[in-house]
Amino acid sequence: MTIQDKNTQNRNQIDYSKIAKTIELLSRGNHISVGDTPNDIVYETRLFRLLHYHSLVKKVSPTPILVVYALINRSYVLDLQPNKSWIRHLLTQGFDIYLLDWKSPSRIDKFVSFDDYVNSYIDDCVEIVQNNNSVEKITLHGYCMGSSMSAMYTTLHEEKIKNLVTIAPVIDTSKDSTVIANISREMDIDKLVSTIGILPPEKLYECYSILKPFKQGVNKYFNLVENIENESFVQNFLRIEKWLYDTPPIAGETIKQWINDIYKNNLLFKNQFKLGKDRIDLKKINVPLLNIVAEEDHLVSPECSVPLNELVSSEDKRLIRFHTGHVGLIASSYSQNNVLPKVGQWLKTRSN
Amino acid sequence: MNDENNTLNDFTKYDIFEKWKKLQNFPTLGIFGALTRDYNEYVQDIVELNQILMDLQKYISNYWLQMSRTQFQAIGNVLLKSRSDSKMNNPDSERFRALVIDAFEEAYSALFSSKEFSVAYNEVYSKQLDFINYINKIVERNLNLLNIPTRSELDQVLKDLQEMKKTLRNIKNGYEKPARK
Repeated sequence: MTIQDKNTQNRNQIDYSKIAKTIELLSRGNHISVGDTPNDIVYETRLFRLLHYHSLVKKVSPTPILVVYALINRSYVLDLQPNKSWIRHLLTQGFDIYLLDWKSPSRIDKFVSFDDYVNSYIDDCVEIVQNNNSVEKITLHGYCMGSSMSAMYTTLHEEKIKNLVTIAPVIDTSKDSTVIANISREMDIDKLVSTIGILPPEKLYECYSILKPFKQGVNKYFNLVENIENESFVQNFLRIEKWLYDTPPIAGETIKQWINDIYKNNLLFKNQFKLGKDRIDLKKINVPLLNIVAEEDHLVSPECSVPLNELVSSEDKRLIRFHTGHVGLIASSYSQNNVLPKVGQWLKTRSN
Repeated sequence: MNDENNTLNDFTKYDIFEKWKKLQNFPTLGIFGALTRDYNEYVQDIVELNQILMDLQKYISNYWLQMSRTQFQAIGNVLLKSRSDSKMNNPDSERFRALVIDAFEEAYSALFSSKEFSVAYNEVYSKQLDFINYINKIVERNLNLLNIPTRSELDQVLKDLQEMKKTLRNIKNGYEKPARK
């Protein structure tokens, strides 16, 4: 028997103790701490909280950053664990960070729309940040759906915005070839909302489960068994699992606009999307723009995000593409080493 | 599955439910019309719900047909790939696992990205919603009988509340903002 054969034989032996340990770990549930960077709740309503993070350095940039998270899953993905925290990295670079953390809407929020999210909730938070820091303008920084909302906000309230930073914004949905985009285009969202009132989280879990069904959905458990003795791997696995299966429902009117106006009719890209009486015209954006996209994004195609740079009127605009995925862009070692230093560098020159 | 589909198609072909509805809408049907008037509504509900369930069954069959077809395709891919992989002669569970996952990923990703699947998936969900909608309709009717506010009435209240909140905010901004300047 050759050494290679022996290695193969060893690999083929099933380690039942590892399987038992994995089952035990998974059955305990995902009681794991996330979002540990110290912060204060500056403002809280039934639908959102505004968090202000404690500074980690002595000299802080004068322009505060308001991070607008998406309405899908929870914002703690931006602060998943200390060594992969988007928020913590920006704090160590000397930025003053606020985070808009959306809470779960219920059936009574059926008629809460994007108009409320953008013109009321984001606007309230922007004003609180302005007042807290005694500044006229702030940096608005969105992630995914939060990027689209940040862009909408900037078109209507540019006088309050100094810089706009977007990560994977949903803009030109005609170019979005992802599974979610395909499903959305066929969905009878009007019937769903009139029947249930909100988009239930179970619907989102179904969509996630068909994204990379075997490479991620199945293979991850094999990897977990193999690495069950590796504490850091296990902790990372549990944190991501917790985040994946922790998504709030989405208010009825909001998801109707998202699917019908943005995904089916591509109105945001056509500059015809309406928030109440206001039409969103992305050409009205003149502030410096940094748009970050992931080449391997299987939730929002890069082709869907890139057109934002072509639509705005800003002279100072930059698009950076990274070879990673939607979550890898914000919560990975890759992001810490490659994405965040560039974001910080761009912001530093525009935050004084 | 074919037999099941044939039965469903027969129902559609002969339009049994539509014919029953027409019959029910007759103003009178001899003594039967008079004798059955009070529970006609309930019979009608049962008929409608059955029709929805039969349609749902049809769409679920189509959905699972696509899933099963893909499963066969994936198993076929595994066989093809393991035959063409010369290293498979030496049994290696890790390598085989990777091969299986690749084969299944390829087949199912193609299915999930297809328009055919999106349509089938949404047809199933839409029919499930029709079922819930019909149950809601029955509940609303009974709430009306008991003089309890119905869901559509509550929806109207919620809509009005949301509008009032917006109006209030606009009024508040109207006097707060000029004062701040």
